[in-house]
Amino acid sequence: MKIVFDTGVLISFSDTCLISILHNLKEKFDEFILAPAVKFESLDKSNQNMRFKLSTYRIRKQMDSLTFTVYKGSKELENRRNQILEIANSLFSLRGHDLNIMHYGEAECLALLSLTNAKYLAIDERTTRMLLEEPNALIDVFTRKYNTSKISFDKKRYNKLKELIGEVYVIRSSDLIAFSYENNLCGNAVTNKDELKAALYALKFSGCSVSFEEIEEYIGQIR
Amino acid sequence: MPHKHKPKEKIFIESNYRTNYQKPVLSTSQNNSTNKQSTNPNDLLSKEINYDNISEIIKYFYLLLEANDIFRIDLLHKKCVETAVIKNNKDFAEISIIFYAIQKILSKRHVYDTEIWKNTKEKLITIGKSGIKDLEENNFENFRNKIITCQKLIQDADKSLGHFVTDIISKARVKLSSSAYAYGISVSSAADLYSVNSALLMEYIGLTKMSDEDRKFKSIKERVLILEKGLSK
Repeated sequence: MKIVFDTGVLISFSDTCLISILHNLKEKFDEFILAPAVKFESLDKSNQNMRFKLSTYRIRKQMDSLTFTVYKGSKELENRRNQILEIANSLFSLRGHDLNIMHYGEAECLALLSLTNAKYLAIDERTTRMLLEEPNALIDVFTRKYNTSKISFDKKRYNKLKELIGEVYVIRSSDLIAFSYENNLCGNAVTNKDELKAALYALKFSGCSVSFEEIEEYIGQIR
Repeated sequence: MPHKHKPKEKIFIESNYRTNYQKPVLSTSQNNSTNKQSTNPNDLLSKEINYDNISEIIKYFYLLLEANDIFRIDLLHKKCVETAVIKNNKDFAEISIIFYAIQKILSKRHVYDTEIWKNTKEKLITIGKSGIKDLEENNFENFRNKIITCQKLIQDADKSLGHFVTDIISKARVKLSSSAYAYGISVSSAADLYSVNSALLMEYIGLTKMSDEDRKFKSIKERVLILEKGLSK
Protein backbone atom coordinates (compact mmCIF):
# COMPACT_ATOMS: atom_id res chain seq x y z
CA MET A 1 0.00 0.00 0.00
CA LYS A 2 1.49 3.34 -1.06
CA ILE A 3 0.84 6.86 0.17
CA VAL A 4 1.75 10.04 -1.70
CA PHE A 5 2.56 12.85 0.71
CA ASP A 6 1.92 16.54 0.21
CA THR A 7 4.17 19.22 1.76
CA GLY A 8 1.66 20.25 4.40
CA VAL A 9 1.64 16.86 6.15
CA LEU A 10 5.43 16.81 6.38
CA ILE A 11 5.47 20.32 7.79
CA SER A 12 2.71 19.53 10.31
CA PHE A 13 4.53 16.42 11.58
CA SER A 14 7.87 18.16 11.69
CA ASP A 15 6.66 21.29 13.46
CA THR A 16 4.96 19.23 16.16
CA CYS A 17 8.05 17.01 16.68
CA LEU A 18 5.99 13.97 15.64
CA ILE A 19 7.91 13.17 12.48
CA SER A 20 9.61 10.12 14.01
CA ILE A 21 6.18 8.46 14.04
CA LEU A 22 6.21 8.43 10.24
CA HIS A 23 9.30 6.22 10.40
CA ASN A 24 7.39 3.69 12.56
CA LEU A 25 4.31 4.02 10.38
CA LYS A 26 6.31 3.27 7.24
CA GLU A 27 6.83 -0.32 8.39
CA LYS A 28 3.15 -0.99 7.82
CA PHE A 29 3.16 0.40 4.29
CA ASP A 30 5.03 -0.36 1.09
CA GLU A 31 6.07 3.15 0.20
CA PHE A 32 5.78 6.77 1.25
CA ILE A 33 6.23 8.79 -1.92
CA LEU A 34 7.22 12.42 -2.37
CA ALA A 35 6.82 14.39 -5.57
CA PRO A 36 9.88 16.45 -6.65
CA ALA A 37 7.85 19.65 -6.05
CA VAL A 38 7.08 18.54 -2.48
CA LYS A 39 10.75 17.86 -1.80
CA PHE A 40 11.60 21.30 -3.14
CA GLU A 41 8.88 23.00 -1.08
CA SER A 42 9.57 21.20 2.19
CA LEU A 43 13.36 21.05 2.00
CA ASP A 44 15.11 23.22 -0.54
CA LYS A 45 12.88 26.27 -0.30
CA SER A 46 12.37 26.23 3.48
CA ASN A 47 16.08 25.66 4.07
CA GLN A 48 16.77 29.33 3.30
CA ASN A 49 14.58 30.51 6.16
CA MET A 50 16.08 30.21 9.64
CA ARG A 51 12.61 29.94 11.11
CA PHE A 52 12.06 26.62 9.34
CA LYS A 53 15.59 25.29 9.10
CA LEU A 54 15.18 22.91 12.05
CA SER A 55 12.05 21.54 10.43
CA THR A 56 13.92 20.89 7.17
CA TYR A 57 16.66 19.01 9.09
CA ARG A 58 14.02 16.78 10.66
CA ILE A 59 12.40 16.04 7.30
CA ARG A 60 15.78 15.41 5.67
CA LYS A 61 16.66 12.87 8.38
CA GLN A 62 13.51 10.94 7.54
CA MET A 63 14.44 11.00 3.88
CA ASP A 64 17.94 9.81 4.66
CA SER A 65 16.57 6.94 6.70
CA LEU A 66 14.53 5.91 3.65
CA THR A 67 11.17 6.67 5.19
CA PHE A 68 10.34 8.50 1.98
CA THR A 69 11.00 7.77 -1.66
CA VAL A 70 11.44 10.87 -3.75
CA TYR A 71 10.06 10.26 -7.22
CA LYS A 72 12.47 11.39 -9.90
CA GLY A 73 11.04 13.95 -12.26
CA SER A 74 10.06 12.66 -15.69
CA LYS A 75 8.38 13.89 -18.84
CA GLU A 76 5.46 11.62 -18.08
CA LEU A 77 5.01 13.18 -14.63
CA GLU A 78 5.27 16.65 -16.08
CA ASN A 79 2.68 15.96 -18.77
CA ARG A 80 0.26 14.34 -16.34
CA ARG A 81 0.73 17.18 -13.86
CA ASN A 82 0.06 19.83 -16.49
CA GLN A 83 -3.02 17.98 -17.68
CA ILE A 84 -4.40 17.78 -14.15
CA LEU A 85 -3.56 21.41 -13.49
CA GLU A 86 -5.27 22.57 -16.66
CA ILE A 87 -8.45 20.68 -15.85
CA ALA A 88 -8.55 21.52 -12.12
CA ASN A 89 -8.08 25.22 -12.82
CA SER A 90 -10.97 25.32 -15.27
CA LEU A 91 -13.56 23.44 -13.23
CA PHE A 92 -15.05 26.43 -11.47
CA SER A 93 -15.71 29.84 -12.90
CA LEU A 94 -16.98 33.09 -11.52
CA ARG A 95 -17.61 36.47 -13.18
CA GLY A 96 -16.19 35.18 -16.45
CA HIS A 97 -12.95 33.90 -14.88
CA ASP A 98 -11.78 30.35 -14.29
CA LEU A 99 -10.76 29.98 -10.67
CA ASN A 100 -7.14 28.88 -10.30
CA ILE A 101 -7.65 26.69 -7.29
CA MET A 102 -4.65 24.40 -7.61
CA HIS A 103 -0.89 24.87 -7.77
CA TYR A 104 1.62 22.66 -9.61
CA GLY A 105 2.76 21.08 -6.29
CA GLU A 106 -0.66 19.65 -5.52
CA ALA A 107 -1.17 18.68 -9.17
CA GLU A 108 2.13 16.82 -9.11
CA CYS A 109 0.99 14.81 -6.08
CA LEU A 110 -2.21 13.89 -7.90
CA ALA A 111 -0.26 12.96 -11.03
CA LEU A 112 1.94 10.64 -8.97
CA LEU A 113 -1.04 8.71 -7.67
CA SER A 114 -1.81 7.08 -10.99
CA LEU A 115 1.83 6.86 -12.11
CA THR A 116 2.86 4.94 -8.97
CA ASN A 117 -0.41 3.02 -8.45
CA ALA A 118 -0.82 4.72 -5.10
CA LYS A 119 -4.37 5.06 -3.83
CA TYR A 120 -3.74 7.21 -0.78
CA LEU A 121 -2.97 10.90 -0.65
CA ALA A 122 -1.80 12.45 2.61
CA ILE A 123 -2.71 16.13 2.43
CA ASP A 124 -3.63 18.64 5.12
CA GLU A 125 -5.02 21.48 3.08
CA ARG A 126 -8.73 21.47 2.37
CA THR A 127 -9.11 22.57 -1.25
CA THR A 128 -7.59 19.48 -2.88
CA ARG A 129 -9.28 17.22 -0.34
CA MET A 130 -12.71 18.75 -0.97
CA LEU A 131 -12.15 18.66 -4.71
CA LEU A 132 -11.45 14.93 -4.63
CA GLU A 133 -14.05 13.93 -2.07
CA GLU A 134 -16.88 16.44 -2.17
CA PRO A 135 -16.70 19.28 -4.72
CA ASN A 136 -20.06 20.63 -3.49
CA ALA A 137 -18.37 21.46 -0.19
CA LEU A 138 -15.90 23.57 -2.16
CA ILE A 139 -18.79 25.27 -3.98
CA ASP A 140 -20.22 26.06 -0.52
CA VAL A 141 -16.96 27.81 0.34
CA PHE A 142 -17.05 29.83 -2.89
CA THR A 143 -20.71 30.75 -2.39
CA ARG A 144 -20.05 31.89 1.16
CA LYS A 145 -16.90 33.87 0.44
CA TYR A 146 -17.83 35.48 -2.86
CA ASN A 147 -21.35 36.16 -1.63
CA THR A 148 -22.87 34.76 -4.80
CA SER A 149 -24.47 31.58 -6.04
CA LYS A 150 -23.33 32.23 -9.61
CA ILE A 151 -20.45 29.77 -9.55
CA SER A 152 -20.34 27.43 -12.50
CA PHE A 153 -18.98 23.92 -12.12
CA ASP A 154 -18.00 21.78 -15.10
CA LYS A 155 -19.12 18.29 -14.10
CA LYS A 156 -17.91 16.72 -17.32
CA ARG A 157 -14.36 17.96 -16.86
CA TYR A 158 -14.52 16.92 -13.24
CA ASN A 159 -15.29 13.35 -14.28
CA LYS A 160 -12.33 13.53 -16.65
CA LEU A 161 -10.12 14.64 -13.76
CA LYS A 162 -11.31 11.72 -11.66
CA GLU A 163 -10.49 9.35 -14.49
CA LEU A 164 -6.98 10.77 -14.79
CA ILE A 165 -6.27 10.49 -11.08
CA GLY A 166 -7.98 7.16 -10.48
CA GLU A 167 -9.36 5.88 -7.22
CA VAL A 168 -7.95 7.90 -4.32
CA TYR A 169 -8.50 8.09 -0.55
CA VAL A 170 -7.52 11.27 1.22
CA ILE A 171 -5.99 11.24 4.68
CA ARG A 172 -4.68 14.03 6.87
CA SER A 173 -1.91 14.20 9.44
CA SER A 174 -4.61 13.92 12.15
CA ASP A 175 -5.83 10.63 10.65
CA LEU A 176 -2.26 9.29 10.40
CA ILE A 177 -1.58 10.05 14.06
CA ALA A 178 -4.87 8.45 15.07
CA PHE A 179 -4.06 5.34 13.02
CA SER A 180 -0.56 5.20 14.53
CA TYR A 181 -1.93 5.44 18.05
CA GLU A 182 -4.50 2.70 17.48
CA ASN A 183 -1.78 0.45 16.06
CA ASN A 184 0.84 1.18 18.76
CA LEU A 185 3.17 2.91 16.33
CA CYS A 186 3.68 6.16 18.24
CA GLY A 187 6.48 4.94 20.48
CA ASN A 188 7.23 7.41 23.27
CA ALA A 189 5.85 10.34 21.30
CA VAL A 190 2.20 9.64 22.18
CA THR A 191 1.57 7.15 24.96
CA ASN A 192 -1.96 7.84 26.16
CA LYS A 193 -5.29 9.39 25.27
CA ASP A 194 -4.44 12.82 26.70
CA GLU A 195 -1.22 12.95 24.72
CA LEU A 196 -3.10 11.86 21.62
CA LYS A 197 -5.60 14.69 22.09
CA ALA A 198 -2.74 17.14 22.56
CA ALA A 199 -1.05 15.82 19.41
CA LEU A 200 -4.27 16.23 17.40
CA TYR A 201 -4.68 19.79 18.61
CA ALA A 202 -1.03 20.52 17.82
CA LEU A 203 -1.52 19.23 14.27
CA LYS A 204 -4.65 21.33 13.89
CA PHE A 205 -2.78 24.45 15.02
CA SER A 206 -0.03 23.61 12.53
CA GLY A 207 -2.53 23.88 9.70
CA CYS A 208 -4.19 20.47 9.37
CA SER A 209 -7.77 21.02 8.19
CA VAL A 210 -9.46 19.16 11.03
CA SER A 211 -12.07 20.75 13.27
CA PHE A 212 -12.26 20.86 17.07
CA GLU A 213 -15.51 18.96 16.80
CA GLU A 214 -13.87 16.12 14.85
CA ILE A 215 -11.06 15.85 17.38
CA GLU A 216 -13.40 15.79 20.36
CA GLU A 217 -15.65 13.28 18.65
CA TYR A 218 -12.72 10.98 17.91
CA ILE A 219 -11.24 11.26 21.42
CA GLY A 220 -14.66 10.40 22.79
CA GLN A 221 -14.56 7.17 20.79
CA ILE A 222 -11.14 6.13 22.14
CA ARG A 223 -10.92 3.90 25.18
CA MET B 1 -39.58 55.85 20.19
CA PRO B 2 -38.07 54.53 16.91
CA HIS B 3 -34.93 56.30 15.83
CA LYS B 4 -35.37 58.34 12.64
CA HIS B 5 -32.62 57.87 10.11
CA LYS B 6 -31.61 60.97 8.21
CA PRO B 7 -30.67 60.45 4.56
CA LYS B 8 -26.88 60.10 4.39
CA GLU B 9 -24.98 63.20 3.34
CA LYS B 10 -22.62 63.03 0.45
CA ILE B 11 -19.03 63.74 1.43
CA PHE B 12 -16.92 65.55 -1.12
CA ILE B 13 -13.16 65.30 -0.89
CA GLU B 14 -10.85 67.47 -2.97
CA SER B 15 -8.03 65.37 -4.30
CA ASN B 16 -4.60 66.93 -4.08
CA TYR B 17 -3.47 65.67 -7.45
CA ARG B 18 -5.07 65.54 -10.85
CA THR B 19 -7.47 62.74 -11.47
CA ASN B 20 -10.20 62.26 -13.97
CA TYR B 21 -12.73 62.78 -11.22
CA GLN B 22 -13.46 66.38 -10.38
CA LYS B 23 -15.39 65.78 -7.18
CA PRO B 24 -15.25 62.17 -6.18
CA VAL B 25 -18.06 61.07 -3.93
CA LEU B 26 -17.02 59.11 -0.87
CA SER B 27 -20.55 58.53 0.17
CA THR B 28 -22.10 55.43 1.54
CA SER B 29 -24.58 53.33 -0.34
CA GLN B 30 -26.63 55.27 -2.88
CA ASN B 31 -29.78 53.36 -1.97
CA ASN B 32 -32.97 54.72 -3.46
CA SER B 33 -34.86 53.63 -0.38
CA THR B 34 -33.41 56.34 1.76
CA ASN B 35 -33.46 54.88 5.22
CA LYS B 36 -32.31 51.36 4.40
CA GLN B 37 -28.98 50.35 5.95
CA SER B 38 -26.82 48.27 3.63
CA THR B 39 -25.89 44.83 4.94
CA ASN B 40 -23.08 44.33 2.42
CA PRO B 41 -19.91 46.13 3.58
CA ASN B 42 -18.81 46.53 -0.04
CA ASP B 43 -21.74 48.91 -0.52
CA LEU B 44 -19.78 51.38 1.58
CA LEU B 45 -17.15 51.68 -1.13
CA SER B 46 -17.62 54.19 -3.91
CA LYS B 47 -19.76 52.94 -6.76
CA GLU B 48 -17.99 55.18 -9.26
CA ILE B 49 -14.84 53.08 -9.29
CA ASN B 50 -14.18 50.18 -11.61
CA TYR B 51 -12.68 47.68 -9.17
CA ASP B 52 -11.16 45.66 -11.99
CA ASN B 53 -9.00 48.65 -12.92
CA ILE B 54 -5.87 49.01 -10.79
CA SER B 55 -5.29 52.62 -11.78
CA GLU B 56 -8.76 53.67 -10.57
CA ILE B 57 -8.34 51.67 -7.37
CA ILE B 58 -5.04 53.39 -6.58
CA LYS B 59 -6.49 56.85 -7.22
CA TYR B 60 -9.40 56.03 -4.93
CA PHE B 61 -6.99 54.72 -2.31
CA TYR B 62 -5.11 58.01 -2.22
CA LEU B 63 -8.36 59.85 -1.61
CA LEU B 64 -9.09 57.53 1.29
CA LEU B 65 -5.53 57.97 2.59
CA GLU B 66 -5.89 61.74 2.57
CA ALA B 67 -9.11 61.37 4.50
CA ASN B 68 -7.51 58.82 6.89
CA ASP B 69 -10.51 56.61 6.10
CA ILE B 70 -9.23 53.40 7.73
CA PHE B 71 -12.56 51.64 7.40
CA ARG B 72 -12.81 52.03 3.64
CA ILE B 73 -9.12 51.28 3.11
CA ASP B 74 -9.80 48.03 4.96
CA LEU B 75 -12.72 47.25 2.65
CA LEU B 76 -10.61 48.19 -0.35
CA HIS B 77 -7.81 45.81 0.57
CA LYS B 78 -10.34 42.97 0.93
CA LYS B 79 -11.80 43.79 -2.46
CA CYS B 80 -8.31 43.60 -3.97
CA VAL B 81 -7.67 40.21 -2.33
CA GLU B 82 -10.87 38.90 -3.86
CA THR B 83 -9.94 40.22 -7.29
CA ALA B 84 -6.40 38.83 -6.96
CA VAL B 85 -7.87 35.37 -6.32
CA ILE B 86 -10.52 35.50 -9.05
CA LYS B 87 -8.07 36.75 -11.67
CA ASN B 88 -5.00 34.99 -10.22
CA ASN B 89 -3.33 38.37 -10.50
CA LYS B 90 -0.22 39.26 -8.49
CA ASP B 91 -0.54 43.01 -9.10
CA PHE B 92 -3.81 43.07 -7.19
CA ALA B 93 -2.23 40.88 -4.51
CA GLU B 94 0.74 43.24 -4.11
CA ILE B 95 -1.35 46.40 -3.87
CA SER B 96 -3.67 44.73 -1.35
CA ILE B 97 -0.56 44.27 0.83
CA ILE B 98 0.16 48.01 0.67
CA PHE B 99 -3.44 48.92 1.49
CA TYR B 100 -3.59 46.48 4.38
CA ALA B 101 -0.26 47.64 5.80
CA ILE B 102 -1.23 51.30 5.61
CA GLN B 103 -4.58 50.65 7.20
CA LYS B 104 -2.75 48.93 10.07
CA ILE B 105 -0.32 51.81 10.42
CA LEU B 106 -3.13 54.36 10.48
CA SER B 107 -4.58 52.53 13.46
CA LYS B 108 -1.31 52.87 15.41
CA ARG B 109 -1.03 56.31 16.82
CA HIS B 110 2.56 55.80 17.92
CA VAL B 111 3.43 55.35 14.24
CA TYR B 112 1.24 57.68 12.21
CA ASP B 113 1.81 60.69 14.46
CA THR B 114 5.55 60.60 13.81
CA GLU B 115 7.63 62.60 11.35
CA ILE B 116 8.97 59.35 9.92
CA TRP B 117 5.49 58.28 8.88
CA LYS B 118 4.55 61.73 7.58
CA ASN B 119 7.64 61.74 5.36
CA THR B 120 6.90 58.17 4.24
CA LYS B 121 3.33 59.10 3.36
CA GLU B 122 4.49 62.00 1.20
CA LYS B 123 6.90 59.72 -0.65
CA LEU B 124 4.15 57.13 -1.11
CA ILE B 125 1.86 59.73 -2.65
CA THR B 126 4.61 60.93 -5.03
CA ILE B 127 5.50 57.39 -6.10
CA GLY B 128 1.82 56.54 -6.38
CA LYS B 129 1.18 59.38 -8.85
CA SER B 130 4.11 58.22 -10.91
CA GLY B 131 2.91 54.60 -10.72
CA ILE B 132 -0.50 55.59 -12.05
CA LYS B 133 1.22 57.33 -14.96
CA ASP B 134 3.21 54.14 -15.67
CA LEU B 135 -0.03 52.16 -15.78
CA GLU B 136 -1.61 54.62 -18.16
CA GLU B 137 1.43 54.27 -20.43
CA ASN B 138 1.31 50.45 -20.09
CA ASN B 139 4.73 50.50 -18.48
CA PHE B 140 4.03 47.57 -16.18
CA GLU B 141 7.62 46.84 -15.24
CA ASN B 142 8.07 50.37 -13.87
CA PHE B 143 4.73 50.13 -12.10
CA ARG B 144 5.72 46.89 -10.41
CA ASN B 145 9.07 48.35 -9.36
CA LYS B 146 7.17 51.21 -7.76
CA ILE B 147 4.97 48.78 -5.85
CA ILE B 148 8.14 47.20 -4.47
CA THR B 149 9.52 50.63 -3.59
CA CYS B 150 6.31 51.54 -1.76
CA GLN B 151 6.39 48.28 0.17
CA LYS B 152 10.03 48.90 1.09
CA LEU B 153 9.20 52.41 2.33
CA ILE B 154 6.41 51.07 4.54
CA GLN B 155 8.65 48.25 5.74
CA ASP B 156 11.44 50.67 6.69
CA ALA B 157 9.03 52.97 8.51
CA ASP B 158 7.57 50.05 10.40
CA LYS B 159 10.98 48.58 11.25
CA SER B 160 12.14 51.83 12.81
CA LEU B 161 8.88 52.46 14.65
CA GLY B 162 7.38 49.04 15.31
CA HIS B 163 7.89 46.67 18.22
CA PHE B 164 8.17 43.35 16.41
CA VAL B 165 10.90 41.39 14.64
CA THR B 166 8.57 40.70 11.74
CA ASP B 167 7.67 43.87 9.87
CA ILE B 168 4.20 44.82 8.76
CA ILE B 169 4.69 43.97 5.07
CA SER B 170 5.83 40.42 5.88
CA LYS B 171 2.91 39.99 8.27
CA ALA B 172 0.55 41.38 5.65
CA ARG B 173 1.74 38.81 3.12
CA VAL B 174 0.95 35.91 5.43
CA LYS B 175 -2.37 37.33 6.60
CA LEU B 176 -3.58 38.10 3.09
CA SER B 177 -2.43 34.75 1.71
CA SER B 178 -4.60 33.21 4.44
CA SER B 179 -7.47 35.40 3.24
CA ALA B 180 -6.83 34.14 -0.29
CA TYR B 181 -6.91 30.54 1.00
CA ALA B 182 -10.24 31.33 2.66
CA TYR B 183 -11.57 32.07 -0.84
CA GLY B 184 -11.12 28.39 -1.67
CA ILE B 185 -7.80 28.19 -3.46
CA SER B 186 -5.16 25.71 -2.29
CA VAL B 187 -2.43 26.51 0.23
CA SER B 188 0.29 26.44 -2.43
CA SER B 189 -1.75 28.67 -4.75
CA ALA B 190 -2.37 31.19 -1.96
CA ALA B 191 1.28 31.05 -0.88
CA ASP B 192 2.44 31.60 -4.46
CA LEU B 193 0.01 34.50 -5.04
CA TYR B 194 1.41 36.35 -2.05
CA SER B 195 5.00 35.05 -2.28
CA VAL B 196 5.03 33.49 1.17
CA ASN B 197 6.47 30.29 2.53
CA SER B 198 3.80 27.52 2.69
CA ALA B 199 4.93 26.57 6.17
CA LEU B 200 4.29 30.12 7.44
CA LEU B 201 0.88 30.11 5.81
CA MET B 202 -0.05 26.71 7.26
CA GLU B 203 0.93 27.95 10.71
CA TYR B 204 -1.32 30.99 10.31
CA ILE B 205 -4.23 28.98 8.90
CA GLY B 206 -4.01 26.65 11.89
CA LEU B 207 -4.97 29.56 14.12
CA THR B 208 -8.10 30.46 12.13
CA LYS B 209 -11.57 29.00 12.35
CA MET B 210 -11.72 27.92 8.71
CA SER B 211 -11.61 24.18 9.41
CA ASP B 212 -14.38 24.54 11.95
CA GLU B 213 -16.65 26.36 9.51
CA ASP B 214 -16.28 23.93 6.60
CA ARG B 215 -18.73 21.18 5.82
CA LYS B 216 -17.73 17.83 7.38
CA PHE B 217 -17.88 14.61 5.44
CA LYS B 218 -15.47 11.93 6.65
CA SER B 219 -14.48 11.78 10.31
CA ILE B 220 -11.05 10.88 11.71
CA LYS B 221 -12.34 7.43 12.64
CA GLU B 222 -13.72 6.81 9.15
CA ARG B 223 -10.38 7.67 7.60
CA VAL B 224 -8.52 5.44 10.08
CA LEU B 225 -10.83 2.59 9.05
CA ILE B 226 -10.07 3.32 5.39
CA LEU B 227 -6.37 2.87 6.11
CA GLU B 228 -6.97 -0.32 8.04
CA LYS B 229 -9.17 -1.71 5.30
CA GLY B 230 -6.49 -0.91 2.73
CA LEU B 231 -3.84 -2.74 4.75
CA SER B 232 -5.99 -5.78 5.28
CA LYS B 233 -6.40 -6.34 1.52
